[in-house]
Amino acid sequence: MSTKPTYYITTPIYYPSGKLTIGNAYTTIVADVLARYKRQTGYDVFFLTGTDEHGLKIEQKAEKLHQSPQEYVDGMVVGIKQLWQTLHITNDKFIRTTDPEHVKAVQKIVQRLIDQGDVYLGEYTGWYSVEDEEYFTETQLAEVYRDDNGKVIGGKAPSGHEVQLVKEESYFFRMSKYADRLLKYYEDHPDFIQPESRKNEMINNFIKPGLEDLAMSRTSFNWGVPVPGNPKHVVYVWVDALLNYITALGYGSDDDSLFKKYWPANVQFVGKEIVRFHTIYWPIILMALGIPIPRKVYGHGWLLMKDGKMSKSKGNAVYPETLINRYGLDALRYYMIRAIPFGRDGVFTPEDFVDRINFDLANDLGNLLNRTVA
Amino acid sequence: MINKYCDGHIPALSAGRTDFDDSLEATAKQTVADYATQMDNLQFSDAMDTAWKLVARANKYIDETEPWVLAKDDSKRDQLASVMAHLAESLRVIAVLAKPVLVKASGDIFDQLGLDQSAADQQLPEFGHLPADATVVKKGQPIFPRLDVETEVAYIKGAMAKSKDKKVEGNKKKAAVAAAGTRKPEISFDDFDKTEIRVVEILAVEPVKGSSKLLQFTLDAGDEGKRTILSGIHKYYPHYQDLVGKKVMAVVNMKPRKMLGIESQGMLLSSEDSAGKITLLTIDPSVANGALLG
Repeated sequence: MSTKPTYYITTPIYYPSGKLTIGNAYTTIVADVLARYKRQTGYDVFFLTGTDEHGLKIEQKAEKLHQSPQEYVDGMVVGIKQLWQTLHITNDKFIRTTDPEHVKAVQKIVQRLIDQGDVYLGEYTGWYSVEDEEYFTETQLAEVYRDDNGKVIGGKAPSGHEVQLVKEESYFFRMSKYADRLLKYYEDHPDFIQPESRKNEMINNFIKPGLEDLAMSRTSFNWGVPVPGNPKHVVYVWVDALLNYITALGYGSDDDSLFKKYWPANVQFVGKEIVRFHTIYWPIILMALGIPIPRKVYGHGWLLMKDGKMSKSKGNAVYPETLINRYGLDALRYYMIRAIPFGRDGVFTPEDFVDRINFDLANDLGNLLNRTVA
Repeated sequence: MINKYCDGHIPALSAGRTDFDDSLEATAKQTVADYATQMDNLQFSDAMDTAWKLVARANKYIDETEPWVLAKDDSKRDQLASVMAHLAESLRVIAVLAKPVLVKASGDIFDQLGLDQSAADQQLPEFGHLPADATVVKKGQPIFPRLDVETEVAYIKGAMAKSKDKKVEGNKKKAAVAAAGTRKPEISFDDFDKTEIRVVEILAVEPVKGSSKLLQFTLDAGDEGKRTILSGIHKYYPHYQDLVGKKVMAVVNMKPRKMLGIESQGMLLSSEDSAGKITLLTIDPSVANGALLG
């Protein structure tokens, strides 16, 4: 009896804050469609999703609500899991970065990287956006505020969020050591980053200008994975989060059979705004650990509204439950897959949504069936 | 048509042949091949476009073959059978292609055609594998209801408007007020002169027991003794101790007011911006305590 070929699909792990819109649900629906298709055509599929639960932003949100961070994320996760059920997502596992197995594995990995010399203790001075949980050098800021003497005193990240100066002891990952290997990897694996335009963005905006070592720990807050041996440091939330793709398969635990079976990932779906983390930091961490790099990272576009990104403050947010309750799950899944040109941004309008249901589903398909059966 | 013309039994594909069958079969074959390539390349929207090409082709096939005309001619019975079989088979193939997306409707199509669902769990569908002896349901239900465009667009837009953050609405109103300028009626100088506003120095600040908002200020107003004023600004001054030594402005001739058992002898002047943030108005320390504003 021949074994089926394996196929490992991941979505990014979601940051649990507030209700998910159809834009947030887009990646997971796409991944689900691929998972089902692959199973249907004879693959042994492992489909992973989950939540990214550490970081300063969550610590602050929980404090505002007078909850412990764990209580806060536990509450949020209930809603997220419920949504995936409503959308009939067939993920094989739901990982949480607060899962003890993940935390232990991250610590084991960080210890190894320290022992190898890939991670070292230094001092970080730079700009940090709490909202984005991201570091920026001065040159990477979208806007820079100066005082009367021309000294930089603040600024805005490309996302528009304010940044604060961070000057603290920090562990660093020697990204610079791997820059050349990464470029060679891109060359040898032209399909690694899709759509291809994103690869050039990475090379020109981040790698060519000089890949700096990554500050990968913080001391000014607690809600995160403590660095082994130096617990006043917590692991930078992005490193913690990226490792989910392998810890979920048991890497770094006593049972890594799933890891041996399914790694490397066949497709890792991400929104285009986080391609950088998944195509620069992620492969380099894997190189340092001596494990294979995923076959493909797909940075898809955004689902936008006519007036731009979906947001509560704009009053243009559309929730999956709203559409499913009235039009059924299939209508939503169909629209997400067909109407948004995968890879590029797509625009949702109520008119277009209703038209698609009427023309494509009710008329073309529905009528074909009805006439045939009558 | 299968109920009407075939008593509900789907004929075999080999029951007859029309001039249009080759073309339909070729389209179906091409559709499946293109769909597979596109899905493997993660071109999901293209794959759906492709699947719908077969839907369109099958609809066109009905127009081409005119089964209602064939039905009137007894000698064309086998051609009619072929048309019925080809339509059912097209729908079966479409249902399999659409299955990863239309998780419910795909099953509905199978059910209405009287086909075994497990037949869908194969590799890519191949046109021509229509199971024998299937019976369609006596009365089909529409798998997707037709929508009234106006009603539904309005419904969705209404839902979007409801999603608007209420807090943002409130802040927008405040900003509108601040931006609008004066909201109070015009006054004369004598009206203004009634208020006695003086510079006071903050000697001590303590939170008021039992209140999360109130701070108790002990002030030197340049006159005899010390003055106590309560201000509900604790939220904006978590580090209230930093205020000690600062000079602020106070209305000193306001009727004293008791709050939580403490008498507040006046009111400190502060500003409130459009986001609701409150800031005490501070005065240069060189100004004498008790100096009158006017």
